[in-house]
Amino acid sequence: MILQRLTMTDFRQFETFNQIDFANIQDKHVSIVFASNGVGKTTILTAIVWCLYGGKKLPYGDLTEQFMNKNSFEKLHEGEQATVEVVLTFEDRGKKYIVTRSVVVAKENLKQVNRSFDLSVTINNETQYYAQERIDSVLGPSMKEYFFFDGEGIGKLADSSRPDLVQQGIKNVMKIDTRQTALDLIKEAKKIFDKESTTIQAKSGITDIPEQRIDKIEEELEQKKANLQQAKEYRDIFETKLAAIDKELLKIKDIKREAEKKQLFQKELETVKKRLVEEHHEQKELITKKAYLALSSEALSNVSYILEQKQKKGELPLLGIGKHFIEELIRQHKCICGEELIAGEKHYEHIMDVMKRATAKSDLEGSLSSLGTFVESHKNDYKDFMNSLKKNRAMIDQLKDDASRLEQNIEAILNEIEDGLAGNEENLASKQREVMQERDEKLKLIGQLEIKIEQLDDELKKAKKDLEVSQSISEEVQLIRHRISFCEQAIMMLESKNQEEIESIRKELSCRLEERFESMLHSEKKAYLDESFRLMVIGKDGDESGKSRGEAKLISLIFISTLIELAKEKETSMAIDDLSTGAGIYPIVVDSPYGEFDAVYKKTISKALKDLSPQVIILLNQEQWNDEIENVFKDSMAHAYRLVAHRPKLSFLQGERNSLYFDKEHFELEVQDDREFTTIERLEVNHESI
Amino acid sequence: MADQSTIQEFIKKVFEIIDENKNQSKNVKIDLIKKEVERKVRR
Repeated sequence: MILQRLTMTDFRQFETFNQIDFANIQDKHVSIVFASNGVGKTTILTAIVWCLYGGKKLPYGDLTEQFMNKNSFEKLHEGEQATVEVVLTFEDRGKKYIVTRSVVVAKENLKQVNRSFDLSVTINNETQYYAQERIDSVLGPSMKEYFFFDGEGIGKLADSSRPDLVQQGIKNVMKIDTRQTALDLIKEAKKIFDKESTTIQAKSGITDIPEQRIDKIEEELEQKKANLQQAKEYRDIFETKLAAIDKELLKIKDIKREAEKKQLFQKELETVKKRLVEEHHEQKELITKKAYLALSSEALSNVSYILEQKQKKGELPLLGIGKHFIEELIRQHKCICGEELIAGEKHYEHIMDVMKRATAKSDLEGSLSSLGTFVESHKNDYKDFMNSLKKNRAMIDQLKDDASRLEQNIEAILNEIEDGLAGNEENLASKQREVMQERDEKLKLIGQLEIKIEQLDDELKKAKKDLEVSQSISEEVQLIRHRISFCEQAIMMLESKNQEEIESIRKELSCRLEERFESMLHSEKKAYLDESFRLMVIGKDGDESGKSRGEAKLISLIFISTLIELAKEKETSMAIDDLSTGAGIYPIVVDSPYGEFDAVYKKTISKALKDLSPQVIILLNQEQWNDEIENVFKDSMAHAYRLVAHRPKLSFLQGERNSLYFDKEHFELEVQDDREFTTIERLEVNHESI
Repeated sequence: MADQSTIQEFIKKVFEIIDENKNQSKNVKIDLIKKEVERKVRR
């Protein structure tokens, strides 16, 4: 980066338009801007830094929110606004950058109010969209500390408590920061991979090792299945037992039915017995009432036989038959038996015979007739009696048979019941209950085991699925781990390279620092950069008594110059190896570098300043300038500038020297004017005159 | 373990990504680097 031009419009002390062209030729690389105190030296540094990095406040000086020139502001009416603009033109790696930073300032209640800030950047006349990034990619804000110094800032690098500034400076200037950026970005990428790995595992919800879970489930499943098998076997045993008990119970039921049958038989037997008693009673009665018939029957039969014989002999009249009755039968031609009475026929003859006998009337005849009738009638009664008796006896026999049969049946049933009941129904029922209970328990256990087995099967399925997921996740995680490992290797390589390079730079810097310090000061003191990146100045005996302010400034300047020198060498040689990055070439802008140093130090510092960078811009109070310093710089200067203060009251009238003796000429640094502002005047350098 | 040259190649690519995407946000650069790692380390 080489600064070419700075233009300021209404910026701070500079009213309207002002411009500085910086020396940028290789051997004429020093630009010096002379000014009295308070005229605008620091404003030049401020303009450059603000233009590059912006901000709502200015980086140096007082009243840092007041961007607009006082006179330009006074010209504004209340409520009016105008633009303050700083334009910096520079070149970097063959490209021309024009950076325009502006702020719109309004007048409100007579005060400056900054309305809007703006930035535009063109590279080779092409407007850039990411203006600030474009600038930062050339010279990042972290590096401004090493190239833009106000008076006291130079020495702060030598502050032993801030080795980080030195280390960071090395990283930035040597562009190790690019490698550092790469390192940081790779670390960030690695973090994302780490997170992805964790997220994938967390998302799966698998917190254990599925293989172990499967083993455990399978073991449990096997156990439960064995239990189930055993329970089923027991259940079958109990079922068999129950079946046997059921059979027994069925048998008991049959016996019960037989018992019922027995009751029926007994009832029937009772009935039969009752009837038997009745029949016996009837027999008794029959015999009592009609047994005489059995005795009289024989007698009557004999009587009847006698009578019949007598009758056949005609010795006996017909008894009991009325003559009229027989006459009537004859008259009607009909026998008592219903046969027609035809004369000459058997029945007619018999009737006629009866008619004859019926006509003979005597008591004997009458009695015999009655007896005969009686005998006849008793014959029937006897028959009836005998029949009834026979029937009665048959009935009694039948009933006796029935009773006997029933008794036998009952006997058989009783035997059967006796046998059957030997099985003990109650025992069986109790046993049945017990077996049923045991069987039910087994059934319950079987149910539980089946549910458990089902659950375990489900769990097994899930575990197997988890295993699949886990395996695929594992592959995924494995891949991410490889990527993480890849990042780690790259990080290690970059860190090692960084460490290696920074250490090598430190050693080189320390070496050059020592040489240059010695050649400049010719003292017994020694300067170097220690391993902790502290800029050290030690005495002859190695004592670290500390450094003077001059030594601190000098060692800082030497450090920067050697650093820039190394960067330049690196930039031109480039690519030490595959992982090297280019270094940068940067300008150095120093405001009031000499402070209160004596002439010797001023000369020494001037020498250091001249060689500080490929472009050096020094903002200097004319009082610090003298022939010796001029001799140090003159060969390196293309031209210089003086800031001329316009003011109503001149300072020299108050006894101050406000002129510059430059290149054997006097130049005024203030002019009387009715307004107060600063103008920039170019000073040409007459090299030939030296 | 990736070999040295693959890592070097990757780092050079990262430098290129940083250089070519100066105007992009940090996240964009990280994403590009992540993709580069994914390209280098495939299944």
